[in-house]
Amino acid sequence: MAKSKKEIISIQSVSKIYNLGETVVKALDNVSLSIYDNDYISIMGPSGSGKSTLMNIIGCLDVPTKGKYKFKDELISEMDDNQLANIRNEKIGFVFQTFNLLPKLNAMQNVEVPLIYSSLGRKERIERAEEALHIVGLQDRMTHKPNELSGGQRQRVAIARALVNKPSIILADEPTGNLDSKSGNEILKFFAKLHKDGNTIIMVTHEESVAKLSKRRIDIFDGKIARDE
Amino acid sequence: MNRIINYLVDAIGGVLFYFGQTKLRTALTLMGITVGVSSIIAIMTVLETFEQSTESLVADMKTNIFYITKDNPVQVQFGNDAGWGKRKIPRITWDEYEQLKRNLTLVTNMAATTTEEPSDRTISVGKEELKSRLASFWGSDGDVLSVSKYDILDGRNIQDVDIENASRVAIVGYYIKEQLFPYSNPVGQNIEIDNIPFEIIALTEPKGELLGQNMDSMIGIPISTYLKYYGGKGWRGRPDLQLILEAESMDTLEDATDEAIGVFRAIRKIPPGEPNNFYIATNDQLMDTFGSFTSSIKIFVGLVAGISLIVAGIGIANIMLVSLTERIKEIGIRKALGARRVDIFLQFLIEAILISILGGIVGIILGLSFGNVVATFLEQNPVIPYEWVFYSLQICASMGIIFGLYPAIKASKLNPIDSMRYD
Repeated sequence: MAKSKKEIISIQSVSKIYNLGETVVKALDNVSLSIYDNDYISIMGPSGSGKSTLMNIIGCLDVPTKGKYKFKDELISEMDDNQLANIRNEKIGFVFQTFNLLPKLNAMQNVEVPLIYSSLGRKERIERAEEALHIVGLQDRMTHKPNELSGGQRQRVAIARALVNKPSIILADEPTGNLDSKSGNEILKFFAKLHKDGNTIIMVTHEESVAKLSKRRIDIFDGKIARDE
Repeated sequence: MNRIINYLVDAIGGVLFYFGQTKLRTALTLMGITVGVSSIIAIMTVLETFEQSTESLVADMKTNIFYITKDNPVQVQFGNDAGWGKRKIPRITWDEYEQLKRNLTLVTNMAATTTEEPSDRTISVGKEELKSRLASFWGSDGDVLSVSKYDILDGRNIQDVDIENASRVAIVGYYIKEQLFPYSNPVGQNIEIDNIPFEIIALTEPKGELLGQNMDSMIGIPISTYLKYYGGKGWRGRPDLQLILEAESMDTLEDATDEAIGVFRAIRKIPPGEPNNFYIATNDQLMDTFGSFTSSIKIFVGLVAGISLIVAGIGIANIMLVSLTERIKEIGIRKALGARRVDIFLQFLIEAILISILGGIVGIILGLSFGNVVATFLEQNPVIPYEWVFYSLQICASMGIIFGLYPAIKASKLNPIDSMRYD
């Protein structure tokens, strides 16, 4: 691994335990992990292995039960809901399997959503959203609603939304899972380009072919890291 | 600041979109608010037009005058007061009037009037008959013209000698001239009232309408003449008189009314402890009665509107909760993208406020239109009760806050991971 690179995320002995009444589920068991600037990581594992939990913790949607999670210099594991929301807003770009666009908003407005929560003025919001849609090649589809776009186009809107706040990492959860292979390949090519442009990408997938495109692969099994290379 | 503007723009867009998606549901919810607000505004508009015209009426009235009448001059109480309906209330007779006149010391002026409003008497000149019903036919021994603010355009007022002799002389309003003497001056000419000829001694200036009554469709004659020709059998007994009494000044008004009550009770031999079997009212009291009438209407309307608004508010809470469950996924996405609790809370609260204000605005427009249509129908000037428009908007906004609060709090507490998975 290119250890000379700058560390962005440092996860130290992190556990996530769910208390479901009688049974106690250890979704993550003492996991340690470092993620560096311009990494392109795929996280793999069967369902129930804990990869979604790890993803949620990296994405600051959830906090660990035990252990330390540092994002750059900020101690995420100690943060409250609102601080987590701010980190998600400023530092993380999400791309979901089901796109998760807001159906009532058009492409442009969907891309603007994260900027609403970072208190940008309307003019600047529009400029940045336009720029992001340009990057994903959807400058002609800005006023289309999600139901007027193809699956691949929707996912590109979602990527534009992930990029719009210039995040430190892009977190993609099965980004090609709901796409046909042609659109899926386009999206993966696009991720490769984003990586080349200097972005840090973390991608959850269960497809070997997808994982092969990444530069680093982490396998999760039973809440533990089984492989990291 | 930017955030707040963003919320507002976002919320307006959200409400409009939501409204478009669930037209019927939102419209039904809005209807509750609309009904509540429009009933408030409509009634307030009508009452305001009435208040305006009565205020101008009051400004014209003398304050040192009081009345003795058989019936409550402003019949506006709800229900029976003190069982009056069951007792036989005697008419005020000429004898009683004369006895009162002899015994009162604090009253400087006194007049008896009998009025038919409207009157079904036939008014004719030769073969020409007045086609519409005469709005007011009165007989009096007092100066009705000055009390009722009529100005004489031509001719002379009724004088003592007319009353003493029960002369057949009449004062006519401008409408009578227009209808029966279109091309000549009626003063000096004859007019027949139920086929009894009268000489017209005065024509009054046009006064227009007041509270829907044509003030110019009026004929007045001396009370003695009235009692003689129209008083029915035994002319001293039959008609019901209204007595107008004038105290020397405002300061002696209370003493004068007390004296009049005492004397009139003595005349009627009412034993102590029994209630009066006549009404006594000052102009102030008349206005107070009107005021209490309007305020009881206001309370009633307030109650009805209040209930309607509470029901509407529950509707808003309900629609926001439905909207919440339909939008759990949206909330999850927004939270994942960086929305804090307060962002979601405000989004929902602003939506609830906007919905209720929207309903309120529709209600205000409907209420103003309806109220002013009624006002125009009653020949009043159109008004806008600004105060109540403002109150209504305030009430709507607070309803949005009160009933939007719980759904907003609930929405803000949703967990982003679970919400995003929700379908």
